[in-house]
Amino acid sequence: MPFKISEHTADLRVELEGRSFEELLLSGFLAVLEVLEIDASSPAVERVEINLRSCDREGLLADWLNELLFHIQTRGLHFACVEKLQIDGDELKAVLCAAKGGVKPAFEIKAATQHELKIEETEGVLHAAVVFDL
Amino acid sequence: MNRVCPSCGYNRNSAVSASCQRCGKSFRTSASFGFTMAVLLLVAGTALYCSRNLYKKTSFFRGFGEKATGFSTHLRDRVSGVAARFKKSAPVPARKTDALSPVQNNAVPAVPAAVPHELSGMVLLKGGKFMMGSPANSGESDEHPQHEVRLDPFYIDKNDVTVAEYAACVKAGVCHEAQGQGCFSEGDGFEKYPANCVVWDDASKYCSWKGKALPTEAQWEYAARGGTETTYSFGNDASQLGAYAWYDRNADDKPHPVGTKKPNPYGLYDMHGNVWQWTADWYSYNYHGLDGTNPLRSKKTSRYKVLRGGSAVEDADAARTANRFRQDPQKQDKTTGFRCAAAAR
Repeated sequence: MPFKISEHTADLRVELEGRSFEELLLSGFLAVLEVLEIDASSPAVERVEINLRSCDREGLLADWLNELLFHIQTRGLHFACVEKLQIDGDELKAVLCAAKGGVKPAFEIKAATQHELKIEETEGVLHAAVVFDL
Repeated sequence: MNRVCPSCGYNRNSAVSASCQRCGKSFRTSASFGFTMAVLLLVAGTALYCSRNLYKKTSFFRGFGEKATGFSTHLRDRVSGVAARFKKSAPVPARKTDALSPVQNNAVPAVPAAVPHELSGMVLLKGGKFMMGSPANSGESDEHPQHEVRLDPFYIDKNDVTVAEYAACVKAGVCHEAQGQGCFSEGDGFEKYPANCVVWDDASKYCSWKGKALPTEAQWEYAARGGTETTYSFGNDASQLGAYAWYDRNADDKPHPVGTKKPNPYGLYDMHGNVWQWTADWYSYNYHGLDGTNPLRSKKTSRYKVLRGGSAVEDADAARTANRFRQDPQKQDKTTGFRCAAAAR
């Protein structure tokens, strides 16, 4: 998996990696589903468009994760796939497929914070550690 | 309401966040704490009364209630539980390019050098559990037993590999040109048609050349189902098939350009009909002997590889999601094509 999850005091720390910023965002997508223990398959009947703008990549990553959490926890959507992910400067455009209802996340995450969030590159691989506020 | 962090100056459009999402410092100061709390309580009442849609608000208040009663041992245990699951996992492996074909290695390769914009024509599927095969009393005998399969996340091409895409591999000296009657070739206006007449080895080489691999049979079926357990990805009614597939009733006995029918629930085109699609697995007469997690029949159990999806010359029954077909991997067939997949790791 392109991520690793560990304890972080009262919160949860997830280390993401990707060979591009887009892949880092996709790793974040998979990590959120893993943390919330969403495992079942169901027909994807809804297309979700996500459009975000942030002043830097760290902000965009945190906003992306928070947007996913919003759709999962507040709207009750169950994401199955990412059809499109486009980064253009400080803008992110994504299309995801999702099912509605029927899956209850095992966890409730309040937010992905930007606390100590920094995207760093090592040997061509981007790394970021995100702390989720539980 | 815009909040400006007193520590780092980060400006965030959030009415209720208690702390800066950039630096983690509290918005509250001792001098304004009482006032802030009063504002928060007012906003809380408003939010609880009129809004269930603003995530940042509702999620904060749920969290605030938990913190007000103390961070419970129960919640701490849940955190430890999730973390513990991942402590057992090996650290994220370093990526490397393997010179061998991924199928020869009995493994699906990592994604290409970098996933470019728009996923480079692929869809990321989250994986998980699904029921593979046909229920008892339906389908062909080789579709049984229906069994639960768990898959890791993976990418899969939205479309079958086209003539133009395959031609690039031929020009690079990696793949062999497909020749024969009914085989499409570049320059004849067939660029957007599925690459047909490609033998299994060349299909596998093409995918490796792109840093991918042929999908395993399980990956193919998971992708084709789109989360459904019905006969087709759109339901059980074959009369709707014409909207999703080129098959014997509408295709005039020849494949058509890729992506010209409706996609399945995962946004994948031509998972029913048009051309059969090679998979990585060797064919066997049933599903016995396979792992429940990321199964791949890599050991030669017959002379055939598995084809999936039906084709332009086959009937609606062949286009069923669970249907399997076997083919000599050396055979060039005008109704056989392929698409690629890649592990998300």
